[in-house]
Amino acid sequence: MELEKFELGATPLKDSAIKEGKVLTVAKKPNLKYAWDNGPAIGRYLAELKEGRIIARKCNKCRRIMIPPRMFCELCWRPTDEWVYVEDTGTVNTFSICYVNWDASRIKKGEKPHLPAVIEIDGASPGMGILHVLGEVEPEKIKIGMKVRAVWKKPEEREGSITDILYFKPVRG
Amino acid sequence: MAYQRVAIVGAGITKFVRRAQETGKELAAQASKMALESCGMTMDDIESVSLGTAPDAFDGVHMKGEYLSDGSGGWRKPYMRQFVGGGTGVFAPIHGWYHVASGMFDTCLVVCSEKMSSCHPHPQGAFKTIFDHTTEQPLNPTLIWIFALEMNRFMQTYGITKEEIALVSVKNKKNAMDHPAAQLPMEITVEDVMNSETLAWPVNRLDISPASDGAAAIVLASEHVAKRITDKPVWIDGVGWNLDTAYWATRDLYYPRYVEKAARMAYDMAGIKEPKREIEIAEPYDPFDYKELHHMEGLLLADRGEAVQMLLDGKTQRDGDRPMCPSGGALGVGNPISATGLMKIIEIFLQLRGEAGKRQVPGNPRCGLAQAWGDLMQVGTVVVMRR
Amino acid sequence: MGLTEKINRTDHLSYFEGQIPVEYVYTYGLGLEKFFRAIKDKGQFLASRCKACGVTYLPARSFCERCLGGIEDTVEVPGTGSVYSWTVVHLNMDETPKEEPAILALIDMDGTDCRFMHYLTGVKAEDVKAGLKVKPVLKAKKDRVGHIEDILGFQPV
Repeated sequence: MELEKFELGATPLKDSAIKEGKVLTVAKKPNLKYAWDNGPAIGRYLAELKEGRIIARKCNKCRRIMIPPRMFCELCWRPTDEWVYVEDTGTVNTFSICYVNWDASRIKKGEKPHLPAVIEIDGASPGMGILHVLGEVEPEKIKIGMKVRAVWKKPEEREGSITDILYFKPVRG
Repeated sequence: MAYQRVAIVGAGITKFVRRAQETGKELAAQASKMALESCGMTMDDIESVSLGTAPDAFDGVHMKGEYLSDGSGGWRKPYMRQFVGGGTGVFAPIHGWYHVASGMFDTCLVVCSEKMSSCHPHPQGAFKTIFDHTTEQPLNPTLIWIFALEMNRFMQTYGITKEEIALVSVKNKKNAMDHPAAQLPMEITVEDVMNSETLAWPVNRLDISPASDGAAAIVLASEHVAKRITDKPVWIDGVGWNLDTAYWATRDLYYPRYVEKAARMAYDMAGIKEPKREIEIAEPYDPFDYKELHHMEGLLLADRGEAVQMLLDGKTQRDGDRPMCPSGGALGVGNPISATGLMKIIEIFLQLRGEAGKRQVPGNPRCGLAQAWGDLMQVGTVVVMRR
Repeated sequence: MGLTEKINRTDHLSYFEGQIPVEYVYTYGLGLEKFFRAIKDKGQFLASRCKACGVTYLPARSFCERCLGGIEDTVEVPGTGSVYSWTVVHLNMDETPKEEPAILALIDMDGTDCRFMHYLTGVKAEDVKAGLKVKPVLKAKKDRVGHIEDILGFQPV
């Protein structure tokens, strides 16, 4: 068989075919809202963020200090053992300079690009990174390996969320 | 391990398009009908069905496997849906393989269908929900973040440039000029890629595969049935899949260890000792251009950090020593998630039979593989095929 | 693995709120496009018949689910049918009570091998029986847009 010998299916449509009603469509906006239980590990992680601290969890078998904290070690497949406070500083493992919003729309003219990064947190095991964003830095000056520090919301504005850390900024000097 | 040998005996595909008028089940039916016709079989000959389709959030159809079943030949058959995100297109045939290999069935229709265009304004929005709802989603991530972060780390680790990586996109989009299902065939240059819109540095628009609607299907048969159907069966000689940690930020972003483990599983089964020598042609998953290189290394088809040199030396071109993505890949043919992996399986099937038309690689290859990748960017799925 | 932390105060348990912020626009596809165009423009019910399998599908489809053969042609059916089963709905989606209970029915559609799900109108719940003959009630032509709600419901013949 060769693909070229068949008439292949799928009828391409332009976006305008939908806007102009050339084909029938039906629209739906599911109005689903969720309340996700945090569980003991993430619950404590968020409660500590509200206090301006970052907490991790240690497995005494592989000795990893894990962030985000978890009640079980996915490598040893056993319960983790201890709570351990870690620093609010870290190292940029990798980063991006992003001109696209979450829904694929583009950032507006004059808006600063998003600066997502994986940050390896000091005091956690090497390689233990979390997703966050960078701030107070010119995009072209960001480097992999750069030392950064968390910039926190004011205590009264914190709500127990990963966004209680506004961003990570370079450690000067 | 005792099991029946399993062959691919027929294949079908729809065009890959940005937006199809057809529903997902209609696309599935078109691809399935073609697959049956290609080997002279009917639904009466099909004993089991394996369906692959990716996130339900694309179409907002919960229980999407059930929804697609009538277009996939699931009516009153043993029917099973597979889902490992972007890895699904190679995982569904693995499932089909053990339906038949186990001896439970002698035939299996494997169908992958994806309709991404229903999600408005852009299917990217649905991808937000793959991030952890508590520790990541509040940061408003887009899926491109993960790829941009991984690509940056990959480039940094091995000192690879954006220009070098762009050559993958140039190659694959050109290869797609010869694929009748292709959505984005084009002749472009490295400069075109570099000058295309920066979405999330280091990722530009032409570094990325498009969102697509489309479907693909294959027919699997046990050895004694396959020999009655065709004198050119293509054997599935090895299958493998593997998953890394769900904490994606903690992984080695420069090396897909899970792909290596999946590949080793498939190579062991197929008796492949030296993949670099024995795998003559491959379709690594290429939703982004750097992923082709990343996956070649995970598949042990190149040493770590060395895939880019094979690219620069022209070895991965269709007429090169080790052709990669001769179909045009996700970058050129399009990326209707689950259907993309099955399109890759179909390409190797056609190449090994010498039926790839203008895309045919020289040298009568005997052994090839298709690979896909997905879930929380942590699954590798691999199928090794021989004629 | 058992619990590693004993939870003494359940009011200390926390949760995080969010939603999946996507919307959808569905094309009807090749089969349903024909069906709803005919409802909208002509008030007709179009079915599809697979000659190989001898099955008639309603609404119209572009393929036969039994043999996966393509079906191009449509046949007009009367749109009448008989009640196969029914339920009386007292609650809205959000579990608030409905002003008037609604009767939702599965209807064996005449001239086809398919059932249709829709509301019954012009009949009291206690008068509904299996086998009750019904016919469709459509919106006025000017109000029809090619949507399942172009059919207001089915009423006894």
